[in-house]
Amino acid sequence: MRSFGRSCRGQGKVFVKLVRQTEQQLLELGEDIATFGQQAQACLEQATMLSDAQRERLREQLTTAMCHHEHIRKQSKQLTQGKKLRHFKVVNAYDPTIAPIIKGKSNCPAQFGRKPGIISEPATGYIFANLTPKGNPSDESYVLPLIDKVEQATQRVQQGPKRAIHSLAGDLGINDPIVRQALHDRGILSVGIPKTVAPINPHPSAQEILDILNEADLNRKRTPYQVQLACASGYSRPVVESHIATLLSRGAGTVRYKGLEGAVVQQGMTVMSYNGAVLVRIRQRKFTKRAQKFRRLLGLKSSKASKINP
Amino acid sequence: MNWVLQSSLQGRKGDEDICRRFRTDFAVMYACGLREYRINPSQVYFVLPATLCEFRGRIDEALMDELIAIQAAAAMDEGLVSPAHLVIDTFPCEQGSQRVTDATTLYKAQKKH
Repeated sequence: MRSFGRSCRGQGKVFVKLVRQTEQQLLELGEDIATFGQQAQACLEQATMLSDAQRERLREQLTTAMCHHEHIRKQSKQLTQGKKLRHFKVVNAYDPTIAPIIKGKSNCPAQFGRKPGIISEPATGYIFANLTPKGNPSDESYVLPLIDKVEQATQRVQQGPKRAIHSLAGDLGINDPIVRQALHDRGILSVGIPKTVAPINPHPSAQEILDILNEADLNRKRTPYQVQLACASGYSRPVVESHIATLLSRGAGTVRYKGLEGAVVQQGMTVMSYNGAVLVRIRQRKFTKRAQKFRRLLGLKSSKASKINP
Repeated sequence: MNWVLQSSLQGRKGDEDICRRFRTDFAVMYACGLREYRINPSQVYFVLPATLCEFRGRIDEALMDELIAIQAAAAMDEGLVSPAHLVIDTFPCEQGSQRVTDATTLYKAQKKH
């Protein structure tokens, strides 16, 4: 599995006493920063060589930096070890939109960084949309914005029949009754989202298929065959990991651009290059057996076949 | 924009074409906001990083979503992918790590020996 940043557990101790002493020294050292900030603001107002736009930009940056400093001072005085992290906690002085990732292990320090979401096709791994949110919201909050983005893309399609999302799969993190209901309202099967840790049955019986359709109230919108496909292509952790691993190898692992805007651009460009590579792979017919099977079941054409039978 | 996306599918040849047109085609330069950009004519670049940075600097979240939607719609138009069955997931990304430069590598190498 992936890991990053400082080691989460097992290595070294946190020297609380030393941390508190150092923290006290730093707080004393930084006591005058508020006064310096006010002096800098006064100097900025008196500077004649600056244009209005430059002065406004510098004033905004100074005000932001002072706000961050005050917030960091306040949270530094609080004991963090053993206490629950609040959501608005500054972990990067240059980017307050980064929040701790409160997920996973319970007995180790919280990781922090960004948590992009992707929505992809399980057969070939083509990513239809991605989302890099501000802070780190819960997993279920990613679902509807990503579905909206995919629907916007399908509306742009000019040729062939109208495309629709038949089913959505995900892990237990998005198992939420409100999300399920919202998906059913849009005519999307939620059979791929597990309710327990037990695996989803890939070959449901006729009665089970009927129950799934009745539960979702999608008898008229979705066919039993579509439910069968949804169960067969349901959530698979290795498949998702392979998509993420390829994305990380293309530069999505470390956000190098500044701020949320930078992260959005970097993740977006990575997704586009990844998708380009997937399309090249499809054209060259480099599929796994699983992908070949699903493409055949979904009726997707291959470039070779279209050349033979134009 | 469609032209940029279609060219990007052609691999290295496509990159070369994109970058050549970024430098020479005034219509493309205008569309990408490179009105006041000047390159050093004494050097020939394959991919000019400064041009790409300036281009990317103009992209915001809405435009990025639109670009990805255009790419997805083009793939669906061709019949290569289908959004019928989808899978959703989130993954954490490291933020603000130290940049590995030649100077860092050299410093670390000297420190080891």
